Amino acid sequence: MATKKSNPETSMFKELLTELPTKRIRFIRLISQISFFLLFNGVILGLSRVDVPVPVVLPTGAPFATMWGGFTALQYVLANGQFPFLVLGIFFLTGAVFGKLTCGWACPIGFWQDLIALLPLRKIKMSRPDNEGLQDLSGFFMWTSIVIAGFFGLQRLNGSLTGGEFWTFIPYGVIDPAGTMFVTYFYTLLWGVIPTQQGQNIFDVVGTLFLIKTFILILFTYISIKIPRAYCRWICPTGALLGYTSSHSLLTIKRDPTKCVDGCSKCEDACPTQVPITDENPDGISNTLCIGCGNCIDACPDAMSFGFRF
Amino acid sequence: MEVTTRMKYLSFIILGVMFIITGFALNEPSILAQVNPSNIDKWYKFLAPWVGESGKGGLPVPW
Repeated sequence: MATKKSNPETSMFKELLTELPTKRIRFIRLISQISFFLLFNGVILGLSRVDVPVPVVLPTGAPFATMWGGFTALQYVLANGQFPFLVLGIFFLTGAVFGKLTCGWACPIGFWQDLIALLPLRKIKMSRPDNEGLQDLSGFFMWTSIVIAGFFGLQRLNGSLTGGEFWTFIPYGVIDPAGTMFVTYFYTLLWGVIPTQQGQNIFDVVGTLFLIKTFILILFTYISIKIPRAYCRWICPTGALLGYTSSHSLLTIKRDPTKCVDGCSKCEDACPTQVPITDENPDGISNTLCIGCGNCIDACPDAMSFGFRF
Repeated sequence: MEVTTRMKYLSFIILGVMFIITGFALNEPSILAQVNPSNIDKWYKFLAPWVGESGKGGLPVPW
Protein backbone atom coordinates (compact mmCIF):
# COMPACT_ATOMS: atom_id res chain seq x y z
CA MET A 1 0.00 0.00 0.00
CA ALA A 2 1.57 3.24 -1.11
CA THR A 3 1.66 5.80 1.65
CA LYS A 4 3.72 8.83 2.35
CA LYS A 5 4.59 10.47 5.63
CA SER A 6 3.17 13.88 6.37
CA ASN A 7 5.20 16.92 7.39
CA PRO A 8 7.12 16.87 10.69
CA GLU A 9 4.26 18.49 12.59
CA THR A 10 3.16 15.73 14.88
CA SER A 11 0.82 17.37 17.36
CA MET A 12 -2.46 19.07 16.59
CA PHE A 13 -3.10 20.00 20.24
CA LYS A 14 -1.16 23.22 19.90
CA GLU A 15 -2.90 24.03 16.66
CA LEU A 16 -6.32 23.42 18.23
CA LEU A 17 -5.67 25.61 21.24
CA THR A 18 -3.91 28.50 19.51
CA GLU A 19 -5.94 28.67 16.33
CA LEU A 20 -9.40 27.76 17.57
CA PRO A 21 -10.44 31.39 18.08
CA THR A 22 -9.61 32.15 14.45
CA LYS A 23 -11.19 28.97 13.09
CA ARG A 24 -14.82 29.90 13.24
CA ILE A 25 -16.28 26.77 11.63
CA ARG A 26 -14.13 24.42 13.68
CA PHE A 27 -15.19 26.17 16.89
CA ILE A 28 -18.89 25.97 15.99
CA ARG A 29 -18.45 22.34 14.95
CA LEU A 30 -16.82 21.49 18.28
CA ILE A 31 -19.82 22.99 20.11
CA SER A 32 -22.13 21.03 17.80
CA GLN A 33 -20.28 17.75 18.39
CA ILE A 34 -20.36 18.18 22.18
CA SER A 35 -24.06 19.11 22.09
CA PHE A 36 -25.00 16.11 19.96
CA PHE A 37 -22.86 13.81 22.09
CA LEU A 38 -24.81 14.93 25.17
CA LEU A 39 -28.14 14.70 23.31
CA PHE A 40 -27.49 11.21 21.96
CA ASN A 41 -26.38 10.03 25.42
CA GLY A 42 -29.02 12.11 27.15
CA VAL A 43 -30.48 9.34 29.34
CA ILE A 44 -27.75 10.18 31.86
CA LEU A 45 -29.11 13.75 31.85
CA GLY A 46 -32.67 12.57 32.41
CA LEU A 47 -33.90 12.51 28.81
CA SER A 48 -36.12 9.66 27.66
CA ARG A 49 -35.34 7.09 25.00
CA VAL A 50 -37.25 7.47 21.77
CA ASP A 51 -37.45 4.73 19.17
CA VAL A 52 -36.25 6.90 16.33
CA PRO A 53 -33.21 6.09 14.19
CA VAL A 54 -30.64 8.79 13.41
CA PRO A 55 -27.99 8.65 10.64
CA VAL A 56 -24.99 8.47 12.96
CA VAL A 57 -23.07 5.66 14.65
CA LEU A 58 -24.88 5.06 17.92
CA PRO A 59 -24.86 1.46 19.22
CA THR A 60 -28.27 0.23 20.32
CA GLY A 61 -27.07 -1.06 23.63
CA ALA A 62 -25.27 2.14 24.60
CA PRO A 63 -26.49 2.59 28.17
CA PHE A 64 -27.40 6.26 27.91
CA ALA A 65 -28.45 6.35 24.25
CA THR A 66 -31.61 8.32 23.58
CA MET A 67 -32.04 7.09 19.99
CA TRP A 68 -31.15 4.24 17.67
CA GLY A 69 -28.10 4.41 15.43
CA GLY A 70 -29.41 4.35 11.86
CA PHE A 71 -27.53 1.36 10.51
CA THR A 72 -28.16 -0.69 13.66
CA ALA A 73 -31.88 0.06 13.37
CA LEU A 74 -31.85 -0.87 9.70
CA GLN A 75 -30.37 -4.30 10.44
CA TYR A 76 -32.70 -4.90 13.37
CA VAL A 77 -35.88 -4.06 11.45
CA LEU A 78 -34.73 -6.11 8.46
CA ALA A 79 -33.87 -9.07 10.71
CA ASN A 80 -37.39 -8.91 12.11
CA GLY A 81 -38.79 -9.51 8.65
CA GLN A 82 -39.87 -6.00 7.74
CA PHE A 83 -38.51 -3.71 5.06
CA PRO A 84 -36.88 -0.73 6.89
CA PHE A 85 -38.89 2.07 5.30
CA LEU A 86 -38.51 4.53 8.18
CA VAL A 87 -34.76 4.04 8.53
CA LEU A 88 -34.06 4.29 4.82
CA GLY A 89 -36.36 7.30 4.56
CA ILE A 90 -34.37 9.12 7.24
CA PHE A 91 -31.10 8.23 5.49
CA PHE A 92 -32.40 9.39 2.09
CA LEU A 93 -33.83 12.63 3.44
CA THR A 94 -30.85 13.69 5.54
CA GLY A 95 -28.34 12.52 2.91
CA ALA A 96 -30.11 14.39 0.11
CA VAL A 97 -30.43 17.61 2.11
CA PHE A 98 -27.30 17.70 4.28
CA GLY A 99 -24.98 15.16 2.63
CA LYS A 100 -22.62 13.64 5.17
CA LEU A 101 -22.82 16.65 7.45
CA THR A 102 -24.06 14.43 10.28
CA CYS A 103 -20.72 12.55 10.13
CA GLY A 104 -18.74 15.73 10.62
CA TRP A 105 -21.00 17.62 12.99
CA ALA A 106 -23.05 15.12 15.01
CA CYS A 107 -21.67 11.56 15.00
CA PRO A 108 -20.23 10.55 18.41
CA ILE A 109 -17.71 8.22 16.77
CA GLY A 110 -16.62 10.99 14.43
CA PHE A 111 -16.14 13.20 17.49
CA TRP A 112 -14.13 10.48 19.19
CA GLN A 113 -11.90 10.18 16.11
CA ASP A 114 -11.40 13.94 16.00
CA LEU A 115 -10.28 13.80 19.61
CA ILE A 116 -7.84 10.90 19.24
CA ALA A 117 -6.42 12.49 16.10
CA LEU A 118 -5.15 15.25 18.40
CA LEU A 119 -2.72 12.81 20.02
CA PRO A 120 0.85 13.81 19.17
CA LEU A 121 1.75 10.99 16.83
CA ARG A 122 3.06 11.41 13.31
CA LYS A 123 0.20 11.29 10.83
CA ILE A 124 0.14 9.28 7.62
CA LYS A 125 -1.24 10.63 4.38
CA MET A 126 -2.72 8.05 2.04
CA SER A 127 -2.14 8.05 -1.68
CA ARG A 128 -5.22 9.11 -3.62
CA PRO A 129 -5.95 5.71 -5.26
CA ASP A 130 -5.68 3.91 -1.91
CA ASN A 131 -7.78 6.53 -0.15
CA GLU A 132 -10.59 6.21 -2.67
CA GLY A 133 -10.21 2.48 -3.28
CA LEU A 134 -10.41 1.52 0.38
CA GLN A 135 -13.89 3.06 0.53
CA ASP A 136 -15.14 -0.17 -1.03
CA LEU A 137 -14.58 -1.81 2.36
CA SER A 138 -17.41 0.19 3.94
CA GLY A 139 -19.74 -0.90 1.14
CA PHE A 140 -18.67 -4.49 1.68
CA PHE A 141 -19.43 -4.32 5.42
CA MET A 142 -22.72 -2.59 4.75
CA TRP A 143 -24.01 -5.03 2.13
CA THR A 144 -22.74 -8.11 3.98
CA SER A 145 -24.56 -7.00 7.15
CA ILE A 146 -27.73 -6.22 5.18
CA VAL A 147 -27.70 -9.59 3.39
CA ILE A 148 -27.17 -11.50 6.65
CA ALA A 149 -29.89 -9.51 8.47
CA GLY A 150 -32.23 -9.94 5.49
CA PHE A 151 -31.59 -13.69 5.42
CA PHE A 152 -32.57 -14.07 9.07
CA GLY A 153 -35.49 -11.71 8.51
CA LEU A 154 -36.86 -14.06 5.86
CA GLN A 155 -36.34 -17.01 8.22
CA ARG A 156 -38.35 -15.27 10.92
CA LEU A 157 -40.99 -14.22 8.43
CA ASN A 158 -41.73 -17.79 7.36
CA GLY A 159 -41.58 -18.99 10.96
CA SER A 160 -38.52 -21.23 10.68
CA LEU A 161 -36.62 -19.09 13.20
CA THR A 162 -37.76 -17.52 16.42
CA GLY A 163 -35.51 -15.52 18.70
CA GLY A 164 -31.85 -16.09 17.96
CA GLU A 165 -28.50 -14.74 19.03
CA PHE A 166 -27.79 -11.01 18.88
CA TRP A 167 -25.68 -11.29 15.75
CA THR A 168 -28.65 -12.62 13.80
CA PHE A 169 -30.37 -9.29 14.54
CA ILE A 170 -27.40 -6.95 14.23
CA PRO A 171 -24.63 -8.75 12.31
CA TYR A 172 -22.34 -5.73 12.18
CA GLY A 173 -22.39 -5.60 15.99
CA VAL A 174 -19.91 -8.50 16.03
CA ILE A 175 -17.09 -6.27 14.85
CA ASP A 176 -18.50 -2.79 15.50
CA PRO A 177 -15.77 -0.91 17.46
CA ALA A 178 -18.33 1.65 18.62
CA GLY A 179 -20.37 -1.12 20.22
CA THR A 180 -17.26 -2.45 21.93
CA MET A 181 -16.38 0.94 23.34
CA PHE A 182 -19.81 2.16 24.42
CA VAL A 183 -21.63 -1.11 25.15
CA THR A 184 -19.29 -4.01 25.75
CA TYR A 185 -16.95 -2.27 28.15
CA PHE A 186 -19.73 -0.52 30.04
CA TYR A 187 -21.62 -3.73 30.74
CA THR A 188 -18.43 -5.64 31.41
CA LEU A 189 -17.82 -3.27 34.30
CA LEU A 190 -21.47 -2.97 35.34
CA TRP A 191 -22.03 -6.71 35.42
CA GLY A 192 -18.73 -7.29 37.10
CA VAL A 193 -17.11 -9.48 34.47
CA ILE A 194 -13.79 -9.27 36.22
CA PRO A 195 -11.58 -11.91 37.83
CA THR A 196 -12.94 -12.78 41.26
CA GLN A 197 -10.88 -15.78 42.34
CA GLN A 198 -7.22 -15.90 43.17
CA GLY A 199 -5.13 -17.03 40.24
CA GLN A 200 -7.87 -16.23 37.77
CA ASN A 201 -7.11 -13.77 34.99
CA ILE A 202 -9.28 -11.74 32.66
CA PHE A 203 -8.89 -14.32 29.87
CA ASP A 204 -10.52 -17.00 32.05
CA VAL A 205 -13.54 -14.81 32.59
CA VAL A 206 -14.39 -13.10 29.34
CA GLY A 207 -15.25 -14.87 26.11
CA THR A 208 -13.41 -15.14 22.82
CA LEU A 209 -15.79 -12.65 21.26
CA PHE A 210 -14.80 -10.06 23.85
CA LEU A 211 -11.15 -10.50 22.96
CA ILE A 212 -11.81 -10.31 19.22
CA LYS A 213 -13.86 -7.14 19.66
CA THR A 214 -11.18 -5.61 21.86
CA PHE A 215 -8.52 -6.38 19.27
CA ILE A 216 -10.61 -4.78 16.51
CA LEU A 217 -11.23 -1.69 18.64
CA ILE A 218 -7.53 -1.27 19.43
CA LEU A 219 -6.64 -1.75 15.78
CA PHE A 220 -9.11 0.86 14.53
CA THR A 221 -8.20 3.26 17.31
CA TYR A 222 -4.54 3.08 16.37
CA ILE A 223 -5.30 3.50 12.66
CA SER A 224 -7.57 6.47 13.40
CA ILE A 225 -4.83 8.14 15.44
CA LYS A 226 -2.36 7.78 12.60
CA ILE A 227 -4.85 8.49 9.80
CA PRO A 228 -7.54 11.02 10.82
CA ARG A 229 -11.12 9.80 10.30
CA ALA A 230 -9.88 6.44 8.96
CA TYR A 231 -12.96 4.63 10.28
CA CYS A 232 -15.29 7.15 8.62
CA ARG A 233 -13.42 6.97 5.33
CA TRP A 234 -13.18 3.23 4.81
CA ILE A 235 -15.12 1.17 7.31
CA CYS A 236 -18.29 2.89 8.51
CA PRO A 237 -21.42 1.32 6.94
CA THR A 238 -23.51 4.29 8.11
CA GLY A 239 -21.31 6.59 6.06
CA ALA A 240 -21.47 4.17 3.12
CA LEU A 241 -25.26 4.33 3.17
CA LEU A 242 -25.25 8.13 3.39
CA GLY A 243 -22.74 8.18 0.52
CA TYR A 244 -25.40 7.05 -1.96
CA THR A 245 -27.22 10.36 -1.55
CA SER A 246 -24.52 12.72 -0.23
CA SER A 247 -22.72 13.10 -3.56
CA HIS A 248 -25.70 15.09 -4.91
CA SER A 249 -26.86 16.75 -1.71
CA LEU A 250 -28.62 20.10 -1.57
CA LEU A 251 -26.18 21.54 0.97
CA THR A 252 -22.59 21.35 -0.17
CA ILE A 253 -19.20 23.05 -0.03
CA LYS A 254 -18.43 25.35 -2.95
CA ARG A 255 -15.16 26.74 -4.26
CA ASP A 256 -14.61 29.99 -6.11
CA PRO A 257 -11.87 29.10 -8.64
CA THR A 258 -11.27 32.77 -9.48
CA LYS A 259 -9.84 33.23 -5.99
CA CYS A 260 -7.59 30.18 -6.14
CA VAL A 261 -3.86 30.63 -6.63
CA ASP A 262 -1.84 28.22 -8.78
CA GLY A 263 -0.09 25.63 -6.70
CA CYS A 264 -2.05 26.40 -3.53
CA SER A 265 -3.49 23.40 -1.73
CA LYS A 266 -4.47 24.89 1.63
CA CYS A 267 -7.99 23.48 1.42
CA GLU A 268 -6.79 19.98 0.58
CA ASP A 269 -4.16 20.04 3.32
CA ALA A 270 -6.82 20.95 5.88
CA CYS A 271 -9.21 18.19 4.82
CA PRO A 272 -9.25 15.32 7.35
CA THR A 273 -10.44 12.81 4.75
CA GLN A 274 -8.06 13.97 1.98
CA VAL A 275 -10.71 14.96 -0.56
CA PRO A 276 -9.00 16.24 -3.75
CA ILE A 277 -10.97 19.49 -3.52
CA THR A 278 -9.30 21.33 -6.41
CA ASP A 279 -10.28 18.52 -8.77
CA GLU A 280 -13.91 18.66 -7.69
CA ASN A 281 -16.66 20.63 -9.39
CA PRO A 282 -16.48 24.20 -7.96
CA ASP A 283 -20.30 24.26 -7.77
CA GLY A 284 -20.25 21.58 -5.09
CA ILE A 285 -18.11 18.75 -3.81
CA SER A 286 -19.51 15.39 -4.93
CA ASN A 287 -16.83 13.19 -3.42
CA THR A 288 -18.34 10.66 -1.01
CA LEU A 289 -15.32 11.09 1.28
CA CYS A 290 -16.44 14.64 2.14
CA ILE A 291 -18.01 14.84 5.61
CA GLY A 292 -18.82 18.55 5.37
CA CYS A 293 -16.64 19.44 8.34
CA GLY A 294 -15.72 22.84 6.92
CA ASN A 295 -12.00 22.65 7.74
CA CYS A 296 -11.33 23.71 4.14
CA ILE A 297 -13.46 26.85 4.68
CA ASP A 298 -11.47 27.73 7.78
CA ALA A 299 -8.24 27.20 5.82
CA CYS A 300 -9.36 29.43 2.94
CA PRO A 301 -12.48 31.46 3.75
CA ASP A 302 -12.03 33.57 0.62
CA ALA A 303 -12.51 30.77 -1.86
CA MET A 304 -14.44 28.10 0.07
CA SER A 305 -17.95 28.34 1.50
CA PHE A 306 -21.02 26.35 2.37
CA GLY A 307 -23.76 26.73 -0.22
CA PHE A 308 -26.89 25.19 -1.70
CA ARG A 309 -27.17 23.49 -5.09
CA PHE A 310 -30.51 25.03 -6.07
CA MET B 1 -26.16 23.68 -11.59
CA GLU B 2 -26.63 20.44 -13.49
CA VAL B 3 -30.23 19.36 -13.85
CA THR B 4 -29.33 15.76 -13.00
CA THR B 5 -27.94 16.82 -9.62
CA ARG B 6 -31.11 18.73 -8.83
CA MET B 7 -33.27 15.81 -9.96
CA LYS B 8 -31.29 13.39 -7.82
CA TYR B 9 -31.58 15.27 -4.55
CA LEU B 10 -35.22 16.14 -5.21
CA SER B 11 -35.96 12.47 -5.95
CA PHE B 12 -34.26 11.34 -2.75
CA ILE B 13 -36.01 13.99 -0.68
CA ILE B 14 -39.43 12.93 -2.02
CA LEU B 15 -38.55 9.23 -1.67
CA GLY B 16 -37.27 9.86 1.86
CA VAL B 17 -40.49 11.59 2.95
CA MET B 18 -42.60 8.80 1.40
CA PHE B 19 -40.53 6.12 3.12
CA ILE B 20 -40.75 7.89 6.50
CA ILE B 21 -44.54 8.13 6.23
CA THR B 22 -44.75 4.48 5.16
CA GLY B 23 -42.48 3.45 8.04
CA PHE B 24 -44.69 5.18 10.57
CA ALA B 25 -47.80 3.74 8.91
CA LEU B 26 -46.33 0.24 9.27
CA ASN B 27 -45.55 1.02 12.91
CA GLU B 28 -41.82 0.48 12.44
CA PRO B 29 -40.87 2.19 15.75
CA SER B 30 -42.72 -0.58 17.60
CA ILE B 31 -40.14 -3.06 16.27
CA LEU B 32 -37.37 -0.89 17.65
CA ALA B 33 -39.24 -0.61 20.96
CA GLN B 34 -38.90 -4.40 21.45
CA VAL B 35 -35.38 -3.90 22.75
CA ASN B 36 -35.58 -1.54 25.68
CA PRO B 37 -33.62 -1.33 28.92
CA SER B 38 -36.87 -1.29 30.89
CA ASN B 39 -37.42 -4.90 29.80
CA ILE B 40 -34.47 -6.13 31.83
CA ASP B 41 -34.54 -9.84 30.94
CA LYS B 42 -34.70 -9.21 27.23
CA TRP B 43 -32.11 -6.45 27.50
CA TYR B 44 -29.71 -8.80 29.28
CA LYS B 45 -30.26 -11.64 26.80
CA PHE B 46 -29.77 -9.22 23.95
CA LEU B 47 -26.59 -7.67 25.28
CA ALA B 48 -24.90 -10.56 27.06
CA PRO B 49 -23.12 -11.92 24.00
CA TRP B 50 -21.76 -8.45 23.29
CA VAL B 51 -19.97 -8.65 26.60
CA GLY B 52 -18.69 -12.19 26.70
CA GLU B 53 -19.44 -15.48 25.02
CA SER B 54 -22.62 -17.33 25.86
CA GLY B 55 -22.02 -20.61 27.64
CA LYS B 56 -18.36 -20.12 28.33
CA GLY B 57 -19.11 -19.26 31.92
CA GLY B 58 -18.00 -16.44 34.08
CA LEU B 59 -20.64 -14.04 32.80
CA PRO B 60 -22.73 -13.30 35.87
CA VAL B 61 -26.44 -12.65 35.70
CA PRO B 62 -26.89 -9.48 37.71
CA TRP B 63 -30.55 -10.05 38.65
